[in-house]
Amino acid sequence: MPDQHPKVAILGCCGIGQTVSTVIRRAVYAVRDARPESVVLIGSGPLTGDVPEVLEAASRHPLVVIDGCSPRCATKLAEGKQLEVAATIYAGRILTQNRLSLLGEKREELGERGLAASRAIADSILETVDRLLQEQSNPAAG
Amino acid sequence: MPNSVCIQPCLGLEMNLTTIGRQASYLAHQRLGAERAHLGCAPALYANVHEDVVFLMIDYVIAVESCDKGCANHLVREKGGSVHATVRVDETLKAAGFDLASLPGDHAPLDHPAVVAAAEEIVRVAEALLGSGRE
Repeated sequence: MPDQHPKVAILGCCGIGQTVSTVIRRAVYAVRDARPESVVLIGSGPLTGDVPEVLEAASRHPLVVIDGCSPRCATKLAEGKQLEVAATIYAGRILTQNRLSLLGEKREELGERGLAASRAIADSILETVDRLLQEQSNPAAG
Repeated sequence: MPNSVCIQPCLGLEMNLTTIGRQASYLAHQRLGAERAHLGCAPALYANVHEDVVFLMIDYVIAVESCDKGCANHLVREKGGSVHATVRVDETLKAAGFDLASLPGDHAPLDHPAVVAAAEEIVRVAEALLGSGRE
């Protein structure tokens, strides 16, 4: 049965090694909570595991990719799984633009700075999500 | 023979047990110490980040799976590595008497009882491997 509402899929790197990965993980959860009917979260882990329903969801909806650091793992993952990427967000750029630092933050437990960074990244994702949702609703205008 | 382990969590996103598995991996890494344990990052390994690829070559690999989909096992094998042991977070916590549905979703602190229980199992498995003398 086709989706009743347009949706956007979100693939964040959500790795484990870098603090920014935890920041992105919190950000994508915040986006899901803000747009529960319109967002599908794509886990990088299940994507590397070739979980069929995750691959299908990532293919079916416009895909927003969030990279955490310079190796751009989420982008490489999307490319490797032959997913069409509608938009890419680089966390580092968001942090720089907003003059945010993760200095002193712990990857296993974000403090004030980490949560502020997470909110800024979530806001950026939401802007992109809303734009893509609008384009789906008004394809002639998009 | 390896003298360190690579803790390779599945890094799922939607289930609460993936959060527990992630946090348990951090806690287990702290308890084992940086000289004896490395944290394997799934997206980095997929992207062939050098450090993560090297972990598969030099470490005993412990896949930390939160369900039966086996994502960490799948990735490690795809990258030519071997999984020396698998810790199933769901089974570990069920056996320990936790109500899985009631566990926190998006975040759990390192001192959450479920995180501690899962981490203890990872550490137990790691110590067994490190003491085994296996190749």
